[in-house]
Amino acid sequence: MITNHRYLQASLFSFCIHAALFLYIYGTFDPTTPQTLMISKPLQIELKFDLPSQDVKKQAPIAAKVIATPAEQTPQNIVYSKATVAIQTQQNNALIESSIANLLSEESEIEIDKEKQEISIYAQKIISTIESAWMKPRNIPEDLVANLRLKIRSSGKIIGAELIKSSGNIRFDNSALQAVRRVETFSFFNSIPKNLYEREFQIIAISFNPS
Amino acid sequence: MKKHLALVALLLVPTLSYGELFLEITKGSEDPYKVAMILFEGKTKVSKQLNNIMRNDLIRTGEFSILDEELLLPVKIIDDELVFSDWKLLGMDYLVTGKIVNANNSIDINYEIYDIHKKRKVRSSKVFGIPNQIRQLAHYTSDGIYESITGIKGIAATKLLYVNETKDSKLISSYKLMLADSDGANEKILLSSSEPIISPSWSPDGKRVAYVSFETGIAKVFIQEIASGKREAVVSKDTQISSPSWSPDGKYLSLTLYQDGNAEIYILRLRDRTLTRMTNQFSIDTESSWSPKGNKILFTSGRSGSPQIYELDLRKLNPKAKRISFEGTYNAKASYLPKEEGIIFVHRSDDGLFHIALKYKKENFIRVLTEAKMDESPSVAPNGNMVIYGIKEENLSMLAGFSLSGAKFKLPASNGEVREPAWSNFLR
Repeated sequence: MITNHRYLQASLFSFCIHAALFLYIYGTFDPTTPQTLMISKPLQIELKFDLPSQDVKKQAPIAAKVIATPAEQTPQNIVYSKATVAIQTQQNNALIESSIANLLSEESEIEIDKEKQEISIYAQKIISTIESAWMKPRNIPEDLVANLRLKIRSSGKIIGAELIKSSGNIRFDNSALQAVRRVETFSFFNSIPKNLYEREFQIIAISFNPS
Repeated sequence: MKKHLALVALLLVPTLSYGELFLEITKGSEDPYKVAMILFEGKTKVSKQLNNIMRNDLIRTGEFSILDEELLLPVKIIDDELVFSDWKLLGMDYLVTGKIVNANNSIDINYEIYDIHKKRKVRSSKVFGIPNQIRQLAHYTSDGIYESITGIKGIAATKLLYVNETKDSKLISSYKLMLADSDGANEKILLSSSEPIISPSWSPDGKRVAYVSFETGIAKVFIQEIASGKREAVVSKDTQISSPSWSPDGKYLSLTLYQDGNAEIYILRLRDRTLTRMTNQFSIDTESSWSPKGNKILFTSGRSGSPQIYELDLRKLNPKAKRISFEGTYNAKASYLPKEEGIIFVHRSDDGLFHIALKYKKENFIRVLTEAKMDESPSVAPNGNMVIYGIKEENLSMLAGFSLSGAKFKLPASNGEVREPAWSNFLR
């Protein structure tokens, strides 16, 4: 019975603390929180940072998605309430900008799809070239993974190979480096459009993961 | 599946590794480094001998293929681009050149290693020796080549212990404890006896050996200094003692004592010769060997009804042995790999034959590495990449070895039978 009593007491305390915490996060104790909290959508604010520009094209839609999800679930987010002042003045602007942003990002998404396809074709070529040159050592433990970073010239010549994550097994690491040494030049690189090469294929990371 | 993986990797680009393109490689096969070794400048006879020893050292690792001497291009200066491309046409990864320098009482080797793909020298080194030790000089050089190409310490300059049994015309056996280079050459006798010698074990500094000798009629463990030949029995008790194994710090020997009615593992502190009993079982406990850090021992026990491998954590006060072999009805004579990532042991397969097997700690299956009938007593090289063990051919015991990367070799049979090999630590 005693245990039971203490347990109930603890539960009550726990409930009170959690309730207080919840109310605090909800904004009950914050006198400056305006009633208009729910009006503007946090998604729009975040999108301001993600207006598609040349160099963030690829990340834009993904970043927006990632940010949008938690923000919608907890619109009373503390970060948000701090930003409120700024939001109120920019609310209208933000609404306009966001609709433009939506259009732009739709357009760029189509472009990105095309680009993604192209990237994956060349990526597949890189993978198969290295795979045909890679000699996996015998009698090494399973589940070994080694990551390399390659610097590649536009001609396809590999000018640098760096082990960025060792597998912990020297023979395995060596086999990865050796594979890259053997490849030396990716012959198809001259068919990659210049801007695509500059953005995607100058430096690449490769994971050797036979499991 | 592979394509899917690659695509998944692509989609994850922004979140993974610095936003760069991230590709995954999932297939590969086995192939060694291709190395061209030009005869070192100097006396042709010495040069050929050196070349031969180094070639064998490197091929034995399983990680090298050495270009046939006949195919070698007659070139000396190789810093120029044209020549590099010649070697590349031959499919070479590395080129080794060298020079033998004779001084008054010494013979030195200067050697260079060139990376054919990178088109540059990757190592320039010098080895010092004395004229009647060409073999040693060759081993040091091939270890240098091996290490600078693979990043792994070479074991050509390490030594082996083993027991040699010969029979005279009346078929009476005599036994010798032998010391030899890692390629089986350069044999020396450490001890001769009319009674069996078994279980040789190296001290970690390579200066002493422990072994079991039956010279007193029963099994006794002796320690012997290699240089002086000085030897003594380590435990004066009137009981059978066997399977000595030296702790990595050189301060203890683990032993099997038969004074309790059956075989039990003891640890002997060499400083004051105190014995500590480690196992207490109605069944046999024997064949102990230390972990590389010296905090655990492996041993073979029959407590489950069949010989299996157990591990004892020495850091605990009353350590309980943990069974670590489960596949099959016979697993014995285990030793750790140098990073403790797995164990090498004798395993009886379903066909009833005995093989050397490997089990990685993180894996729940074993890898059988040999295919003869009666493979026994494996000993692991200090870099963990090679194993030497005993085989039977036409009923004669001899030594064979393999590298984890797939090379297999036999040690040249000396007179009679050879068994119970023990690989030394790195020496020097």
